[in-house]
Amino acid sequence: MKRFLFYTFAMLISFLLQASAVRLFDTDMSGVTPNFLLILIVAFAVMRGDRTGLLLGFFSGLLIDLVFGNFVGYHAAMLMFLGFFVGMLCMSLPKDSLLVYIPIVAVTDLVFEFLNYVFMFLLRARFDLGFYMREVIVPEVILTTVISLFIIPFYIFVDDNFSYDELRRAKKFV
Amino acid sequence: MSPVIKKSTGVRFSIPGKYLLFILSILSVVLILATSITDIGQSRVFTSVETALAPFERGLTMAGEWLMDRREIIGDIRSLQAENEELKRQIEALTTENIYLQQDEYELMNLRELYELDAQYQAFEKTGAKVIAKDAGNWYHSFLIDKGTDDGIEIDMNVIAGSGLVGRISATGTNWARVQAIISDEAAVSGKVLSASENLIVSGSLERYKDGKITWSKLVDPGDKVSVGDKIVTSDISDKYLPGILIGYISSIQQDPNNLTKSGEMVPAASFDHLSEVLVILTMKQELSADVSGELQR
Repeated sequence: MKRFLFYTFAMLISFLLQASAVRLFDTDMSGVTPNFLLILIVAFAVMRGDRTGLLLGFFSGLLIDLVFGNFVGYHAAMLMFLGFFVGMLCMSLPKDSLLVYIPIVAVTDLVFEFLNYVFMFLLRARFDLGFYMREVIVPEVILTTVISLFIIPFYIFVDDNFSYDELRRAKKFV
Repeated sequence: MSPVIKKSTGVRFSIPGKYLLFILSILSVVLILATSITDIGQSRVFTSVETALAPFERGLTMAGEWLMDRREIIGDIRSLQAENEELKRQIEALTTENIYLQQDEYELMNLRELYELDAQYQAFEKTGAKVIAKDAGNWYHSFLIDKGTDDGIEIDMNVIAGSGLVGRISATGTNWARVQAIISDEAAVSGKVLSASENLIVSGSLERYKDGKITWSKLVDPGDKVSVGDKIVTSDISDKYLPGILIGYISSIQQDPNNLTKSGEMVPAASFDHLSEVLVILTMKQELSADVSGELQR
């Protein structure tokens, strides 16, 4: 229950950060927005596994779709699969070091934005991948990765607390 | 283990990841199909999420503006003094200019009556709105404003800022609306070159917008009447945009390989760099054309 509440709040706050708060510092429409939701999905997919990853991905994507999408379900499906695969592939990794998460965030964001390019731009005959890499994808990946350095330690801390609580509660009755 | 322990540790039935993935994939596909074929995306179930979030976005935006104001106040007072001197000088010059302009105004009024479109554009009822959020990704340029159906805003209403066209409303909730900007890569507007009265298509472009420009195409101009710097306004044949709203100025012209049409780049008239407030025109093209056809029938 606690976890559920935390995920919901983290998702809403990440979304608000992504949509509104970045405008605190930069009102430019063409500024780069870091992907806060993706950081959340990746962090908990690595820590909690594929099931959490895919659920967080699905609902975060649904949020983006409901507010900004011309149709609903595209981001939901995409982020769900990313969350699932990250959770599955990173099952056996050590989960206490920040260094583990950084490359995973970078690679996942790169894959996510590349797929976005393919589905939203390449299919509409925008072939200049070099331009989109240089101007859109790479700046976002760099910014997201740098920001994740500050957010992920917080997520690790919260997850540790939850796990400790759950363990303690489970032990009480044995 | 007694049943009591089982209950309190919360051992629940849970679906394994891969089945959940399968079920939610199907749900996504159903949602994509349903929302792209039908209007269900505009139903209350779908718009209520943003309706709940809009107050927070407005709060964040206001906090941002407050911060900006502080930053500006702290900003160099000396430069403001210099600017003040400069502005005083300008006021004198402008006052004299104003006298001449007032004389011209009478003439202008008459001309406006002749050129009805512009008069209509001036008379449209408008409402101001604040930009509260921008697209969560970096691919498209849609944004949210803090007024919705409660303030009389409907889908396809035109949005302007300063002197130029910004875009049109693409989704609405009770207290929010989404604006699809003309610079957005998927947007296209039917325009007209004011000097030559030739129609063309203005389309947003992520690539060109990095230089502050968007693209236009499909201009038929065999007489080479159109030149760089010409004004592009929304055309009469558009079914969503009101006629005669300034879109921008032509910055380059190119002959297409088919030798029939021309295309090129243009600079949008509205400033998208610091878009914080926009005006929504409450009159819609559909109503306007209904009025006109009604009058014609009479």
